[in-house]
Amino acid sequence: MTVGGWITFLISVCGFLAFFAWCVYKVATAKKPKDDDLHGAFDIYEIENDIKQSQARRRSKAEK
Amino acid sequence: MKAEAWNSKIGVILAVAGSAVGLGNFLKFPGQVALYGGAAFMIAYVLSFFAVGVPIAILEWTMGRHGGSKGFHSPPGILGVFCGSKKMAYVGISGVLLTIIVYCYYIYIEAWCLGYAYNFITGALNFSNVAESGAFFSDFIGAGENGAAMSLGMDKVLIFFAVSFLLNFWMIYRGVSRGIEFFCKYAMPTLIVLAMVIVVRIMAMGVLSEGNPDRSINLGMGFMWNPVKVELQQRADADSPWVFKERIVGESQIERARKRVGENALSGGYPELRLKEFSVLEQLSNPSIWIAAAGQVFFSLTVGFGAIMTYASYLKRRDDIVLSALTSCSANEFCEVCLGGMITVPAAVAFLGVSGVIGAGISLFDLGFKVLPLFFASMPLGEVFGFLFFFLLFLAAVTSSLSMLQPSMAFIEESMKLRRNFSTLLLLFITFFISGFVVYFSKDLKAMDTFDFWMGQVAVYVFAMVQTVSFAWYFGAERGVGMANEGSVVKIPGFYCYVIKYATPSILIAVFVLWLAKDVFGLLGDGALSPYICDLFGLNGRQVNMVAWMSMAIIFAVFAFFAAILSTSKTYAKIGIEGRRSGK
Repeated sequence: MTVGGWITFLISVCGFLAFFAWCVYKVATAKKPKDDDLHGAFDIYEIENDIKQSQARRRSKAEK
Repeated sequence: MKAEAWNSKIGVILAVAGSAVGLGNFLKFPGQVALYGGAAFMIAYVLSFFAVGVPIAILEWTMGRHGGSKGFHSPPGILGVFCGSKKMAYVGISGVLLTIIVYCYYIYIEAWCLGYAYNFITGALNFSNVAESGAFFSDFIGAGENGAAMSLGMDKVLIFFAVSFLLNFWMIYRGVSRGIEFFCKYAMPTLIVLAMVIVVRIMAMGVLSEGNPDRSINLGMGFMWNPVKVELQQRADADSPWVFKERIVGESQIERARKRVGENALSGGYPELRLKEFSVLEQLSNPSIWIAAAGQVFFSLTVGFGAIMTYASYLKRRDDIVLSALTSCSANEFCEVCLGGMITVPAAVAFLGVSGVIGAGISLFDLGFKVLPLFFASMPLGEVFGFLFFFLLFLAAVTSSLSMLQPSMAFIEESMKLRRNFSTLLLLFITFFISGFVVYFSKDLKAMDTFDFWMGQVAVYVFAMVQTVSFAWYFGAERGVGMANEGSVVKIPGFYCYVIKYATPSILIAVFVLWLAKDVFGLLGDGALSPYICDLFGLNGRQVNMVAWMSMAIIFAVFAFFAAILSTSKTYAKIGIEGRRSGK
């Protein structure tokens, strides 16, 4: 392998290794978010409420 | 139905990284670097990584988390709710379709890895040349004739296919946290440790063959990483163009080639020889290198498939996604560049030499299943290292195939409101027949290749473009980046909005158009129409291939089935209303 080959190899490997190490460090030291809102459940109710409301609106329009 | 969720942040990162790390990291990437030249390929690769790979990964994570917060976990639901349109849910079926079809042939390759691992540890693989290892491979996968893979025996793929298939479904049945997360939490660290052990072993080898000092690990590394590519070229007469004859690596080989060229010049005869050096800039001026680098980043990160958005949909509303996306991308790059780049090609060159490797082929399957088994068979404790290598490939393949199954699983559960055991059974039924079709029609791997071309390449590019344009132009890049930054430990810098809005779609479209022009329609380069199109229409002297047509029929049938489910499902009735509510 030529000197240029070694330089290419070391920059590529060290660059991605450093990037990976930085990410792992940030994940390991990141603070846990305080709010623990569960996904999905409330939004499903929200959407279902929307459906009910829109149906009610349609019904009242039809009655008028 | 109980809502699924990830157990831990590291679990989802490992699962997404696992979906990205696959055979391409260890078998395809090294071959591509060696083929296109170290520095030039890496420049194109790194630019593609930050301009295409990372942006699409971030937008998939963002769309997924948003869809999950609205109760949708499959690509149709996520894309529909993100764009506020039921029509987009139909477009999202592509995400389910392509992942399920890719799974159905990927599981076949996964079985090869398991079969090779088993046959190595039992000492059944002893080859002395490429022809022998090639013959075993062809026999093992049943490439000789249709139905040849359907016989039982440890030197055939069928048993390993059944084991891999059942393992995947067991994990999928257990669910996101108890199945996928559990498996990836153990498989990913194991895979990395195994790869490190193999790297250390290979790097410690030096010269493998005493009689051939040119066959060394150092030469293999030079073949991959040397920035200046040296080729021996020849031409038949003074009016003919120069054509490639041999790739030259290493000072002593270059010296020998120079002497050969000098002698040829003195004799004045034809064919005339010359030594041509390609600088990094010259290599970068070749469009093929950009197509190859962008394609490698794109497929290696498994972006554009819809698998990442499905995984991200199981996050909580304010869970970090930017850092998670970066970490999973960087984990994939670590496996690809730092580990994969040091195993396959150096080992193959150490055993066969540069011209031997080029002669045997540096494609994914040639390197992995013909050249490397030969290398392991010839080294001390080769049974153990061969087993470790193919077992690591098997783990990498399982973590990827699980991510290919989950979008379909989520779609079936979401749209049909089935209990997990019934939805698992339905998915098992569908995939069993499609993957059975792939295994049965194994002659020249026609069924697998057809699926790979139309779904694993064309559909993935198109679906990635749809996702990118939806995110950057329909939803709005600024709004999308703001959404991604919510709850994130690392914020996306402002200029990345422009990258996502302009650079990513432009590069994606340019690479797709160039790829179509060069490799599919033959408008650039050698001018040959893709064999996959010739197979369908009987062009260029080929006969119409019925297996290719059957494969296409399966693709359309599955799409129609999923579209019918979507159109009758009450779940997706919410999407339009939600879209109107959010002003879309």
